Amino acid sequence: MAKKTFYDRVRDIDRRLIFLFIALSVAIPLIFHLYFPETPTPMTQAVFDKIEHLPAGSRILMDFSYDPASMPEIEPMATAWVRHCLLKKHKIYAIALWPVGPQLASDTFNAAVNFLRNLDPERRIVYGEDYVNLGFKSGAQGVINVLLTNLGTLYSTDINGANIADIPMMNGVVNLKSFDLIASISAGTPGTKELIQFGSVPAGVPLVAGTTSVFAPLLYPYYPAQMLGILGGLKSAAEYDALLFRKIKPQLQARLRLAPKLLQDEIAQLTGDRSLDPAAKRKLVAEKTAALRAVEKADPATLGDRRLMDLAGPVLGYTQKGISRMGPQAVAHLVIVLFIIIGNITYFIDKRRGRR
Amino acid sequence: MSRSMAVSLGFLAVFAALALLGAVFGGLTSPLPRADEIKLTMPNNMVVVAPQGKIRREVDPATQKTKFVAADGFRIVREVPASYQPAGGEKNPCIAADEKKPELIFKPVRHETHYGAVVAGDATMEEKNGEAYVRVPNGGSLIERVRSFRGFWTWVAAFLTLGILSFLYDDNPFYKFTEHLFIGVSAAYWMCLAFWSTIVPNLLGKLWPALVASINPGVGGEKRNLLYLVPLVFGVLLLTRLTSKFGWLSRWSLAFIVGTTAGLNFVGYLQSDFVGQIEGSIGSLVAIDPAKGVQWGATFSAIVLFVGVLTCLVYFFFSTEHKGVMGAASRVGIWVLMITFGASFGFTVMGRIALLVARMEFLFNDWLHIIIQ
Repeated sequence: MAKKTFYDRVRDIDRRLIFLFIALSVAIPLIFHLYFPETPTPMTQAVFDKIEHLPAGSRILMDFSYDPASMPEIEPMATAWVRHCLLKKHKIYAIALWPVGPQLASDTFNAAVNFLRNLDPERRIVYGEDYVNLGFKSGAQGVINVLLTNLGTLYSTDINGANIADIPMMNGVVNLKSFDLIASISAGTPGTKELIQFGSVPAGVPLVAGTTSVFAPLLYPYYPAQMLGILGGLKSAAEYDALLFRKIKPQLQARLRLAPKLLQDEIAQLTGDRSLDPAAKRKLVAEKTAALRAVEKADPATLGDRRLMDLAGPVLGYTQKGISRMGPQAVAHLVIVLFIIIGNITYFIDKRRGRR
Repeated sequence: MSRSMAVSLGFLAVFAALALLGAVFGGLTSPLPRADEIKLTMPNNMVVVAPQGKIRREVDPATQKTKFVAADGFRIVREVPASYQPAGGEKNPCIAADEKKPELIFKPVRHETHYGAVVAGDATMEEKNGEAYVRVPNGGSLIERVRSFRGFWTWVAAFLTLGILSFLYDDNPFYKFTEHLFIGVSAAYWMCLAFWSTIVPNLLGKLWPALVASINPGVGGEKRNLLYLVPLVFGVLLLTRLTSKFGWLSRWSLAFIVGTTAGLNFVGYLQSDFVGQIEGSIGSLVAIDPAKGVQWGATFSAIVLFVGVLTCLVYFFFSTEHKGVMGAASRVGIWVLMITFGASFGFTVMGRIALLVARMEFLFNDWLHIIIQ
C-alpha cells in the first residue's frame, strides 16, 4: 500500500477531525471570552431607531413565540429589546403564540428589570404599570384575528390570573390598533409571519421582528414594506447589543464610579451566603474581587468599550449574550470557510488529475 | 472489546476528564443537594418560600427607612408588613391567601427554584450552628429548609449534552439512551402542555367551568357554553381514524379544519403574500430620498431584486420551451435560486453554531466554571 502524501491526508481528512476543529474553534474563544466589535446593518439599525424614536409611554405589543430550543439566538435579542423599551419608558404588553413563551418572557423581564434597577436605582419599574405578561393563547392566526377586533374577549386575565381590568396599563387597550408598535420575537410558526399577515397589515400598525437564522430568510421578503426591520440570528442580536451599549454607555460609566462600594457590599454578602455551592462561591467571590481591584484602578470615563463591558458584567449584571456568543461564532465561521476552501481546492485538483 | 464498548469507555473518559478539568481549573458544580431555601409560615396559613440570601434588608440613608432588596434574578413581588392580614377578596393570586392550598399562594418567578415570589414582610434571617433561621414577628415560624438539587441536575444535563454530542464520534449506548430519553420526554411534555394549555382552558373549561376551576384555579369559572360540544364531537371524530370501520367519520373533522383554515388564511395571504410582495418587488424600482435625491445603491438593489424575481418565475414557467431569451432568463433564474439556497444554508449553519455555542457555554460556565472573564 502506497504511503499517503500530505495532500492525500488533507483530501481524505476524517470528518471527526473537522468536528474537533469546530469544537475547539468554539470552546477556546468562549473560555477566553473573545469577542469582536459589531457594526449594525440597516435592518438592525431600523429596529433600534423605531424603538428609540417612539415617544415615552408608547404601547408595544411584544410577542414571545419561541421555546428553549431557540433560546441561544433569541434570548439575547429579547433581553436587548425589553431593556431598550423599558429604558425608553415604553409600556410592554407580552403575549405568546407558543406555550412556553410566557415563562421565557417572565425570565427576560426579571433579568432586564434587575439590570435597570442596578443602572438606575431611582427608576421605578412596576409590573402592571410598565410591563404585563398576558400569557399564551392557542389558535395561532385565530388568536391574532381576535386581537384585531377585541383583545379583551381573549385575554381576560394576565399570566398570574389577575383580571386585566385591575391592571392599570390595560386601560384604553382595545385591540391591535391600540398599540404603537408590534415587536415579534419568534422562532417559527406561528409567529412573525402570522402577525404580519393577520395583525400588522390589516391593523396598519408597524412591526419589527427578531427571529432565528434559519427562519430569517423566510421573513426578509416582508422588509421593508410590511416589516420595518428584522434581527436575524445571533449576529443581529450582537449588533443590537452594540447599539444599546452605545446608548447607555454614559450611564454605565456613571454607575461604575460607585462600583467599589457596591462590590464591597456584594462580596461581604456572598462570603456570608451559605446557600451557594462552595466552589461556585469561591469563583464568584474571586470574580467580584478581581472586578473590585480593576474598578479601583480604572477610571470609567477613560476606559475602552471592551473594558467597560467586561467590568459592567460582574458589577451591574450587564450581560451581553449576543456579543459574547458572537466571538466563538465568528471563529467557527472562519474555520468552516477554511475547510470549504480546502475542500474546493482538493476537488479541482482531483478533477484536473482526472480522478473524478 | 467491541467497538461500541470502546466508544462508550471513551465517552466516560472524556466526561471524567472534563470534570477533572473543572475541578482543577474552575469551580466545578457540586452534584450534592444544598439547603438553599427556607420555608416559613406566616399568619393566616400563608406560606412563604424565601431563597436564602436572595433578599436583604437595607436602610435608606436619606430617609432612614428599611427597604427590601432582591438579588439578581429575583424580584420582590410585594412587600408585606408584619401586620399584613390578607383580605378575603384579594384578586391577585400572587398574594391571595388560599386556605385550602397555601402552597399555591405564590407563583414562581424563577424556574430553577420553583419558588421565589419573595414576600418577606418583616422577616429576618440569621445563622446559628451553620443553620439558617428565619424570624417572623407576629406569629410566623420556620417550617423547614427546602433542599435544592440544582447541582445534581446540572450534572445530569452535562452528561446528557455530552451523550448527544458523542454521536459525532460514533454510535454508542450513551447516545442511544440520551436520544430515546429526549424523544420520550419531549413527546410526554408536549402532550401534557397541549392538554393543559389548549384542551383544558379552550374546551373543558367552557363545558364544565366549575369543575375545571376547582382543579386549575384561574381557568374556567365562566358560564357554561354548550356550543363547545361541537368541537368536542369533531375532536372525537378525528380519533375514529384509529379504527378501520369508522375511520371515514374523521373526514368531517378534516373537512372542517381545511375549510376554516383556508377561509381564515385566504385574505391574509392575498393581502401580504401576494399583493404586498408584488408591490414590494416592482413598486419602487428607482429609490428616491426627498432630501438626497436618487439613491443609486438602493436603486441597484431594487433592480437586482426585480430581475431576480422575474427570472426565477421564468425558470418555473414550463408552458414554453426554455430556448433563446427564455432559456437565458431561466439560466439566470437558476443562479439566483442557487445563491438564495446558499444564503439560506449559510444562515442555517450560523443557527446551528449558535446552538453549539450555547451548549458549550452551559458546559464551561454552569457546570465546569472555567470561562475566564
